[in-house]
Amino acid sequence: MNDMISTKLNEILATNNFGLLAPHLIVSIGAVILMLVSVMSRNAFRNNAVLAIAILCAAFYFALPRDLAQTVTAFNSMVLKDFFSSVEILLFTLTGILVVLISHNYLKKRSTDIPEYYSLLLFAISGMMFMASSADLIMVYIGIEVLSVALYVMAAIDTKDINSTEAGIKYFLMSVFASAFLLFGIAFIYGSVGSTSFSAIKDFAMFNGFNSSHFLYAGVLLILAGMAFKISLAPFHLWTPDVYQGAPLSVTAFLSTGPKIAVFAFLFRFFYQFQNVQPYPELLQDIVVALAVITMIVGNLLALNQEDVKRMLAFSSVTHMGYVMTAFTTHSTEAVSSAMFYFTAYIFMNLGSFALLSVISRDNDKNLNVENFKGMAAKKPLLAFLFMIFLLSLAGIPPMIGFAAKFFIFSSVIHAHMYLLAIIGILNSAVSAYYYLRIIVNMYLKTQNEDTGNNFKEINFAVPEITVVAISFLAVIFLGLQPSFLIQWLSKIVI
Amino acid sequence: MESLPILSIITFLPLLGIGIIALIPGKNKNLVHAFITIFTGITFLISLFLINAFKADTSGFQFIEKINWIPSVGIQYFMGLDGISIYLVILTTFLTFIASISAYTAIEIRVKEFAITLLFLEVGMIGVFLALDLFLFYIFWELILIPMYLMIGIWGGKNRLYASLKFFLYTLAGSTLMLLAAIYMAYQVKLQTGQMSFSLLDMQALTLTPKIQTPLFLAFALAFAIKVPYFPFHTWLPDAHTEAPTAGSVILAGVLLKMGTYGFIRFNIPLFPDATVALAPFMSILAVVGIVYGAFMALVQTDVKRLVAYSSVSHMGFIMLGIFALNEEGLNGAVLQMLNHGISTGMLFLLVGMIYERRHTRMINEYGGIAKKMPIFAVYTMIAMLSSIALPGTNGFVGEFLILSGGFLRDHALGIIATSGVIFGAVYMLWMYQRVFLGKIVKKENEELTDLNFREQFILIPLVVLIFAIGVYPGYMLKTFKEPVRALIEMTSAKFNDENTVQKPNATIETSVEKKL
Repeated sequence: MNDMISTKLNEILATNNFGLLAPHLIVSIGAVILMLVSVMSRNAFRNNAVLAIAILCAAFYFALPRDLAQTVTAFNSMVLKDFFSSVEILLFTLTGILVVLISHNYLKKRSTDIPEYYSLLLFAISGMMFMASSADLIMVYIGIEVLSVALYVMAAIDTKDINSTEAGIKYFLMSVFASAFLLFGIAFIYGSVGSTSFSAIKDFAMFNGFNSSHFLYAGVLLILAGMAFKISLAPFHLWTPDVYQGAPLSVTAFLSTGPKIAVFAFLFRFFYQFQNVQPYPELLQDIVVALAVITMIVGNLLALNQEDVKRMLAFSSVTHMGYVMTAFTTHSTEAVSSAMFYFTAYIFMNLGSFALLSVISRDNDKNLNVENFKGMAAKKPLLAFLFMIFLLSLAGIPPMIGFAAKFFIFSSVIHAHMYLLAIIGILNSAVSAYYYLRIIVNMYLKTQNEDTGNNFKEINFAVPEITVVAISFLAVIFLGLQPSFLIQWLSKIVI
Repeated sequence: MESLPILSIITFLPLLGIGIIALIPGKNKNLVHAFITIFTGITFLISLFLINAFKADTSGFQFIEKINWIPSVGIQYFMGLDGISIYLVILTTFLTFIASISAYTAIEIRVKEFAITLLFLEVGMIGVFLALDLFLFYIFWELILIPMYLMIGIWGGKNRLYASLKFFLYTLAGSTLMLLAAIYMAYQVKLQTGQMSFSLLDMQALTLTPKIQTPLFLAFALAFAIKVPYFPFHTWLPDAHTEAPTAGSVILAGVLLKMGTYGFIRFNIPLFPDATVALAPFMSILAVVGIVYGAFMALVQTDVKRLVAYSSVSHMGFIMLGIFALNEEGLNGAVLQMLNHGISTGMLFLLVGMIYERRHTRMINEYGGIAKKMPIFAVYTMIAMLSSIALPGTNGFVGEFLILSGGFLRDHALGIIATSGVIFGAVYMLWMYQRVFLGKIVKKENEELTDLNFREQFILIPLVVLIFAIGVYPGYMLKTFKEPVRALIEMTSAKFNDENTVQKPNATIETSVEKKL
């Protein structure tokens, strides 16, 4: 009996390469352990944070790619591991570590130090990891649901704040709606192809052409719509304002980076395999270009008049995804590497800004109104300087990393001869400078309003925030000045 | 000496200054000011060595530094100096030095931040004149925006928020398309040679059809035209100049505007010779419109600083006319006038700053008859003014004379209209002088005015010396421009000939038709 089990087990281990999923398993099992710890001890908030970082560090280590050219599939071709998925997983774990550091003091000050928070964060990250390494639509769906369910709870984690609850519910309703689109699309594709595996869908499209089956075409478009919902590409962005506003700042920081990168991982993998399909579906390409243009413009317009800095940053994340989308339209390997570079840059500058915001907000998010930044440079020169650097980087001003990132994006767009798109993109980038500058105007050029009694005295840096800001700042400056090795490393990605 | 990367040293020396100033306590204002002066002074002195080591008889770049930076897209750290940029670099280090001394009494709040912005500005400005890789150039170009923005915004006048934001967004929006054009050209280099490159020299070697050159020319021209500022894009300038603190105005007028004209000379002409020749008439007309418009606007100003700002619009029009005359007289005059304008307008802004510190007003009607109380000040102003209106014997005369003769050679009508700008220039300047300095003292406040002190004269004397030195012996500078300018002329004159050769076949057809008839 025992022999039978052990031979069966060996068989499973031999055919299914668990080592391939080491980072995924570490994070998923870690999430379960943290959940159990939280059940046993309600005071485990601090310990869980440390554990979460340790788990993410371990996952980061195991995700480091060893053989760049290798592509391995496992579990009946449900998941695969290649350089692209490894890079994505590295980005997710990095995001996770930074978000844990941002969250800790912020949530503690608001007495929402619920230990399960970190468990949920790890679940979300494991979902993202599965999305990035999936080779099958079912796997993608599982990944995105694991991610989303964790995010609903995270958005609503501040039970004392009605806005947070509202954010959670809104996010839940909208996201479920998007998931329905996604499932619909998957069903359509399965109906016409007979499989949900990426490669089978590709082969079908290559062999029969895209227009052979309306269901395949409709399915692909539905999947695009569902995913556009998840990364809030305009016009599918309408849920964003309230969710980003209502959710705790640390959750907003996570929402505006990690999940979007994960969805883009899927978009690149799934849509780029059709690039050799003849004839290439023009409507699909037109829709993708339109999404990019509308997203950039709408994101900018929404961010332009925001009084709340957190909300402004959240809206600007819509625009940033628009820039990545412009690269996505080009169907080139450069697009993949420049998008990955952009994400790396975005993680550092965005999370660096959010870390500073979590410090500036003290115990009340009302402090994040742009009016309350007046005169900060005189009182807190270092803080103001760091925030200025992050904002200028987000605006794409050289020599910060944001400029290098935009440079690679637009360079790939120009290489694909899409000049008009590049011009629209870069003009949007110039427009975006206005709202980032508004904060700098308030910090540096305006004097403090005496009657608000905002004296910045209670602003205190603690070790976690300092760590995030220091890492981000160094990355923003050094990768901005010397992006060479990173972009060269990323340009080895083959999809 | 040759192995030293002297250009990088000059460019990044101010960064060392920032590092050191960041360490000293900000409360001791004079100490911080002294440190700024020391570092800008050292940078200036080192840049003077360039004159000595520079070989004036070639058109190529010297002191070249070339290191691979982002090889995957062909970006290099590529710096070099030629006869056109050498004096612009020295003008930059010189005016920054002068501006730093002028700031002792003008800048009293947040001195440490001032030190950092001024020195950062210097890094960017020197870098712009030295960079020969378009990516590097763009970085330096944009690097200037933030310190200048902060300088206007923090230490500026009443309307500083509006002026600084306008300056920033205008310049940023204008330069973005230049970046796209540069990326496009880098890919063209890859198409034609197999290796992507942002190097100016590689891009010069490109063969681009005139049809492609025109949009690229315009993308670059927009960025530079805003900086110059060219006539319809000038609206940021009066605001920015008027609201900026004295040091900021000096640098804005003295150096930042030159970055635009320098850009035209360095990039537009050699990279797009066909488009340059094709668009030169259009650009010259806009330049002349700028000359006349700027002069008329200056005439009606009630604010002295705004008057000087509008006079800049007019004078920069002269420089653009010289550039797009595309002949030796015009281009030599334009390069020389870039330096002259930096000196004379820089000096005028310094003088306006000095009187503003005493009376805290810049309105012309608040003054009158102050020559009696401030005779030395009146003399210095007279000299700066005469240089600005191009009196023979001052530097302005040489530059404007060359430009006008170049413009006249290219197109008589434009030359004549532009010459009227000289007359209007004399009118608004002399009228302003009359209203401010001559006559009786009407306002009581002007009775207590004190004349210039030692520090203020110390700043002005070198400028006066330069005004007369260049005015009397311009050949010393002109000989360094000569070769690079000749190289530029050769590039474009070939295109003028091309146009003629294109027309010739038509002529032969016509004659053959005639013969048949």
